[in-house]
Amino acid sequence: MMHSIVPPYLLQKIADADDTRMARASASARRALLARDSIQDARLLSTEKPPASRRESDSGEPGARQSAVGTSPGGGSRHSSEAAPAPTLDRTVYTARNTEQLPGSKVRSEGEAPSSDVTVDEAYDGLGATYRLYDEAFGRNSIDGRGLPLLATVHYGQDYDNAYWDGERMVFGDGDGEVFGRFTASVSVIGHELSHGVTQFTAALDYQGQSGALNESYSDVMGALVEQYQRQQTAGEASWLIGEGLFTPAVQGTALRSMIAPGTAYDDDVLGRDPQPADMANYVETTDDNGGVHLNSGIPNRAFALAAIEIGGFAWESAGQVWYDTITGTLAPDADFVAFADATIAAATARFGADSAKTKAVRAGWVKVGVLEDGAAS
Amino acid sequence: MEQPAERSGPVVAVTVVRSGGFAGLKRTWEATAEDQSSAKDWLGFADSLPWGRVPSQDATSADRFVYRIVIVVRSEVRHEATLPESELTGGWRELVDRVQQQADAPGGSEPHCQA
Repeated sequence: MMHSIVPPYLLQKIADADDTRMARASASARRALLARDSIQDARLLSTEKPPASRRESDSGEPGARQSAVGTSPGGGSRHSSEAAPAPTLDRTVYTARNTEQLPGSKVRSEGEAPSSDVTVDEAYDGLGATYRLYDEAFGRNSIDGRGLPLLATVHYGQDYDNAYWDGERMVFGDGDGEVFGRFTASVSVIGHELSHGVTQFTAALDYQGQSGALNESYSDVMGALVEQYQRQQTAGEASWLIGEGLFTPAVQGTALRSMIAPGTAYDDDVLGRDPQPADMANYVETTDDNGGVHLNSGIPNRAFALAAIEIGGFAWESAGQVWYDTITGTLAPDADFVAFADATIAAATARFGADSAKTKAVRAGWVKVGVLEDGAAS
Repeated sequence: MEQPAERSGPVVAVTVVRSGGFAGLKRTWEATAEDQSSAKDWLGFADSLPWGRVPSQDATSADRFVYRIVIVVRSEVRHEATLPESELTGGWRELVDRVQQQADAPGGSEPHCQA
């Protein structure tokens, strides 16, 4: 007869916690596995969307690659594309009605009045907040730079403990109610997911190892900036938390990640401690999670937050602009941390000057986390 | 040729490690077969799966889960595979579902933490 066992260290941890919170969480995890075929079917049925993976430079279409490097140092934060169509915000939110069928039923389209469903409206508003950051701060017209409609599906699965980008849309679970609440609750999550779309259309960073961690980190950076822009917070005022409020009150933690202090977002009897490293000395070598893309992203996350705080003011006008310039520049898909760091310094130099305080702060951030050696940057 | 079950340790141990997802939380489920009958039943199903012929990465998605499945028979690895969530269909899904059901059964375990 089959029976289950748990590794001893987990048994001890759970025994010590004397916690029964995970009953629904386990069932929701099983249901999280049932999503695949419906997504593939939805992609095949979609005939009006662009290919799922395409760099702007490959298509030759107007986008953001022309945007930053070489523009006036210290210039304003807006720099629109001459050939791009006028910015157009076009949001559609669907509900999967707690099934795993995508896209689900349309529940709110652009311009329609708020629904009676807070999750639908959070997704709708979050799409708008993300669009506004990219448009108003960086002059980018939607995630592809060409006004691509923004799509989201909420109420995906039953107790589904995740939110993801499937190459065409954002998908949000409601959480199991014991560990996670709904994933639309933090606008940083929505900004994070849509920014995966931006990366898909620009640098197309490979979702593996260091390039994958950079892909994740860029999404965290922009997720944080969407929240800061919405709140009009300076870098010094910002929480630098990703996914604040997603955990239920039963979990001992404030957020899923801390950009300024990786490894401190939660410390829970059952979940354990936030495993993100804060510097290269603690880089995690693993084959799980596509090579630890959600772990080692803590290192470039901290480099960004340190630079932004050192510079001061609104982060989207300084470090955020540099990161955006970098992701829309000539970065290779397999770029590692050092290549990305060098690219940010080049972008900061082009925009603000080599001897500017902003460029020095960007360089110092990478030195602080151990990606660059002091004085070794280009 | 079946061998008599050893008195200590399981005949078959199946481990499922789920990593990734937006939160990046790692979670592990494990089930074991202690006798020859259930071990034969388990391996009959597991051996039919296309080990070594499944993509290990999802080229278009981000923040989805990654599943690593390891089957150990008498302390030796018999099968091992890493699958993106998008590939966890058909028999793979059934395999993982079966392990999770065993782990979640009364008397089973409910690990939910990082390694």
